[in-house]
Amino acid sequence: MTIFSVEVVPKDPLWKIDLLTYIIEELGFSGVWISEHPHNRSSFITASHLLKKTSRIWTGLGVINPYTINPFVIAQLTASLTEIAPNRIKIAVGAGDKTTLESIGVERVKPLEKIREAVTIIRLLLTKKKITIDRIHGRLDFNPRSHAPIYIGAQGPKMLQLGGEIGEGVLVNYSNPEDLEWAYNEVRKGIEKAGKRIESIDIAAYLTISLDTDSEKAVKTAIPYAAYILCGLPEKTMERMDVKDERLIKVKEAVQKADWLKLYDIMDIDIVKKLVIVGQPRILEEELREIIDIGYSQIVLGAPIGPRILQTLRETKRIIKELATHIVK
Amino acid sequence: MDVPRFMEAVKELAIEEKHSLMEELLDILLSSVNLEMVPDYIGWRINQAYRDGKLVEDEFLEMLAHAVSIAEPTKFRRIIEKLEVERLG
Repeated sequence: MTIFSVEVVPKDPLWKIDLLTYIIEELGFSGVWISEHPHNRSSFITASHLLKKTSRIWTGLGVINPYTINPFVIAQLTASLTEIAPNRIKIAVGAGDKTTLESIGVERVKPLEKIREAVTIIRLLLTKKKITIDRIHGRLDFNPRSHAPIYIGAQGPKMLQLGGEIGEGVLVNYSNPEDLEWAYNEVRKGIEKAGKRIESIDIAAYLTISLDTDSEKAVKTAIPYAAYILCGLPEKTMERMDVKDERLIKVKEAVQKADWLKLYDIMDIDIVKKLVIVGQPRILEEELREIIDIGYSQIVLGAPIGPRILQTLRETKRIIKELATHIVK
Repeated sequence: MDVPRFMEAVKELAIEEKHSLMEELLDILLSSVNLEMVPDYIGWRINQAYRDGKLVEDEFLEMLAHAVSIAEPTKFRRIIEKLEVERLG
């Protein structure tokens, strides 16, 4: 069974996020993932608004970073959201992008240990247990009103395995089927290590897509997103993609200066296509078939979606309906 | 000055044509990266009018046109030119 959700990015004003989410719910998607980034609006505050304005879809917060938000506070905020909309909250926890963290004065030390500890703390607090871990102790003085599944946001092999081992879900941040198949197998190693069944975990392909009937426009919209993803990729993935250091340095400089015109010049279209599902909407159908066949149980349609977001969302929903014979929604 | 020109160009359109124009404008607006330039109160009124099925009404269509003219002036001018050519043609 595969479910479909859409990413909303609270870089945009709340009135837009609110309207877009209303349309996403109307179109029949299962949920929205609200991305978290220190430069954007708070995902938790955005979620508290959206949960009051929607009635059916769930809201996922992700990826929440325990280096920037204390795990005890993540549990407190999540539990508070369950009171607004029981059974409609998911959270994803991840170690984030080293460059972004450094830019706000946060050091990303021992990410695997940090995520394991954060998930332990959040899970214990959300199940009303008292915790005593090193110097952290205490419990929430109120009851979470429902369960909130904890996902792990992952890209590197060890984090993917950890996600399989300790997560109730994993958000896999790749877009092409080759990388997604590799990542799925890494998650599976973690699941096997924990002695769990693969069906007990929601493995989500968090896709970056940019689709339009005008392929050139779709590529142009995709380039800044591809550049940003490229800068945060684990070294091993860069090696697999054969990204040269020289090019990466130039891309990083352009991203840091937000020099989009330069990016349009220096980004290699083949690399963009490895990082983003880009082109005419019909290519999504082939990609989705492959991704579902790998075994992914959730597909997240991630930003930018396309240069004309409404048209692409409606077209995507039509494609999903056509795939209905292939999948059980 | 572009918004009155736009309203003049749409005044004789059939309701179905106005509806597809509204959808086109809304798509441009929601896809824009310049939404910080649009005053929040205008954004919320557009939001509510869409939910109420009233965004196609002249009062709200004008508001939508105003928001698009702020966020995406070049695209907005192109739409007006297209409408005027169609009207004259």
